[in-house]
Amino acid sequence: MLCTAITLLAGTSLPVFLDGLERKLKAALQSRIGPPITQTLYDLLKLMIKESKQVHTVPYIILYFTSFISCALTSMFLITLYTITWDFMLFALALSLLMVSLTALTLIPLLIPNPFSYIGGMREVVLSLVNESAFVASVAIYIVSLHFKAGFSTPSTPHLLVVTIPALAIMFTSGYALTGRPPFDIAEAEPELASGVLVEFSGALLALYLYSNLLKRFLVKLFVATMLVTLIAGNGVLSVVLTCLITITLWILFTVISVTLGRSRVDLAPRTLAKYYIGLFIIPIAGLVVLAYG
Amino acid sequence: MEDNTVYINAPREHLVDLASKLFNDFTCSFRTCIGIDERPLNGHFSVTHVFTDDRNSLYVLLKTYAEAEAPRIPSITNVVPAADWCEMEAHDLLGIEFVGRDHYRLVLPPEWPEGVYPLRKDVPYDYRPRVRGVSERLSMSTELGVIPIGPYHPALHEPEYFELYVEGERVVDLKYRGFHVHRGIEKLAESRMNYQQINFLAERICGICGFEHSTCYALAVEKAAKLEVPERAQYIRSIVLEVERIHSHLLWLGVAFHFVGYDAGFMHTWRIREKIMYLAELLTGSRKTYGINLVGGVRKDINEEKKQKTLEVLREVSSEFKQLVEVAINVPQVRRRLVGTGTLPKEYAVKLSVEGPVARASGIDKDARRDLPYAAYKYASFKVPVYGEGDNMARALVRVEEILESISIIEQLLDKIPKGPIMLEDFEIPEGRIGVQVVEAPRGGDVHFVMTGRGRPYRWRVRAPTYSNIPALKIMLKDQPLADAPLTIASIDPCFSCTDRVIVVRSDGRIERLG
Repeated sequence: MLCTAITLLAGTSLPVFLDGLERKLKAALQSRIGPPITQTLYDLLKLMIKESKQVHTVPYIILYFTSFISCALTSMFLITLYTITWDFMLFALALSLLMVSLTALTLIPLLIPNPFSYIGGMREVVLSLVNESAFVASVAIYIVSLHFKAGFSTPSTPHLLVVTIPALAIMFTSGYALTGRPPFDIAEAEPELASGVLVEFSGALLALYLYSNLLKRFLVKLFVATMLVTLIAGNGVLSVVLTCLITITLWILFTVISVTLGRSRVDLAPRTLAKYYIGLFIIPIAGLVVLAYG
Repeated sequence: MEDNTVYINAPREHLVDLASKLFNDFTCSFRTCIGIDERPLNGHFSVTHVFTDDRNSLYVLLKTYAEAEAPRIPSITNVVPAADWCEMEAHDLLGIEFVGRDHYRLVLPPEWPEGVYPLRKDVPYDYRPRVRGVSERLSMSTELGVIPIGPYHPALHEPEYFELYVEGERVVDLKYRGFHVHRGIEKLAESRMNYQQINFLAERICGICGFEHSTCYALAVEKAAKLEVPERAQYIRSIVLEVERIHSHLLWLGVAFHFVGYDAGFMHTWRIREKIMYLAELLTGSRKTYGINLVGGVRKDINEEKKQKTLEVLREVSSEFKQLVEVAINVPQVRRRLVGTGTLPKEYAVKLSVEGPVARASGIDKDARRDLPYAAYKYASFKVPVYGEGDNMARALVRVEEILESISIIEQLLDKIPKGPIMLEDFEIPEGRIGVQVVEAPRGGDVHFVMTGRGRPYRWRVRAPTYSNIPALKIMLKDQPLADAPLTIASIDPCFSCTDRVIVVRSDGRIERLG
């Protein structure tokens, strides 16, 4: 019970501190001192005590729903990693819930009667159409490639080269894009619009929305890390620890990548991504077909 | 003709033809026009159009008189489109009517009472008319989306207002409303300040290119009074002008990187800029708003220790800057966002007489430091970067190269700086003389026109380069993605403090002391 509680607490608070770490790391790379690692926590706590101005036509219940799903998913990942062996069905369930949560978060701005929110939301939708599809497809190909022989096991070298690694590359890219870091931070492109999706959020609601986005970033990496680890290390404490370490490593890696890039544009980013994904998908799909008949 | 200035008194019926000849046939640059209330002097109003023949280093002043009772002068906007704003400014502030064009409020707020012309000599500087507040509604369109940007916006550093009309994510039209920041500078100077005090006022026209303004003003007065300023002072002025140029361009580059989401470039550029701020403090005593210009010379000298330290800092800046640019300009997203966006074709750039890097990025080889040499620039050898693409990347690259050229100019001038005094002693400024000077500010040519009076200018007109560059935004933003709108607006490096000089009175009649 205590372990479960600790895992829950760690899982739901880790994204906040990882965001703080990201800000500190960015500052270091930009020759600045930067804020303390706890800054994101301070910001969220401060927002919680500020006044929330609500637009009566906005269904904020979707935000509550999304946040609940994200928290539940985070907990589910960490607890189940410790207790049970993940299989194909569990991955499928987790992926579905993750996509529901991401889609709900993406749709919220479209329901707000404000042109800035709508423009930001549409930008996010356009990007999501390409990205989420690629993420789901790459996960599917990855799992199929590992399940090719009966039961999960390390794939053979041809599988690894032609199917697993390209699928991982797509998963890595789409996972990065899903976190909304440069060059894909076009929804809330503040210098461009005065505001984007955040324009009608304030106070505790803004804190909840920001926290949901942090959970989204965490979940995407956690999902990828979970797939990597459970297929190799089984379940138990080692599994949880490895998963968290890989998640943190991915977060740091994504931070470093984001510092080196600028922001793309809503018409450029989806096109560039689509071309990249199509090019990469040809390899594993063709590989699967050849290996199946080979 | 006097020194490098040609004076032409044009009868009203020949004004348009003469303006057309200068602008179209002789391809002179149109700089600005100045309305003057000369009723106390000769019973007339006048309008002086300032052209420059850059190839022959000449100023050409085309002056026309109008009657006192109902001043009317032909408009030259049909042949010189760039004259649009300055004519409207003369209309707003002096009540001069320009025949052959529509009139609209440009610089005065909509609630300003009719018939009150602030720059007329019979209107005191502290006159405050009673006004009633007027609300303006956002333009509504059922076919197009309307995105208001400003007057306060995270992308803007000063208040200005743009209405972007969009179809989806594409800008199809633009409405601009500026002049929110007016401090009555010209009226103040003409009413209650002496020649030397105005240097410090001029430096506060702009927070980034203030020294360019104070130098331009000092040079205009010195030209009018035919003062022989010590050469050492001119060298110091040129050195500090280039320090200010480097600082301004670095600031702009950082902001441009921020606009394309490349915050690493923003932070590193401003880190390098910090060394230039230190340099400015070393040479002048202040990081900004240096306060060293006076009519007749400068107030601070450069000793050998400062000279060596300056050279050392410049070497560091040059090395770090080159490394940064090599990386930053080649970031894929930076290139994609800058190349091919906000294009200003050369033909429009010429028609609108745009200035500075905006002009040079559109293929116009124009630089007042070379074409109309002033201060100590004739003693330095430098290249003027010109690109033909006219897009945001071209404007960025012009500024990048100018930074490196400025470093070279400072090194040359420090090497050659002559010994001697830095300030002229015992001089007089006679009345009734005219001096006009163009100084190449980071954004383009600053123009200061001075008509000397007793103890203070009778008329002082300031035209900042952004004044000429803003009208070009309508062309640069048309059919551009919305995401690139703030970047394109920023690419002209707008300085609205320089541009806006209209008296603002609060709509409820409250008097506010600004600044």
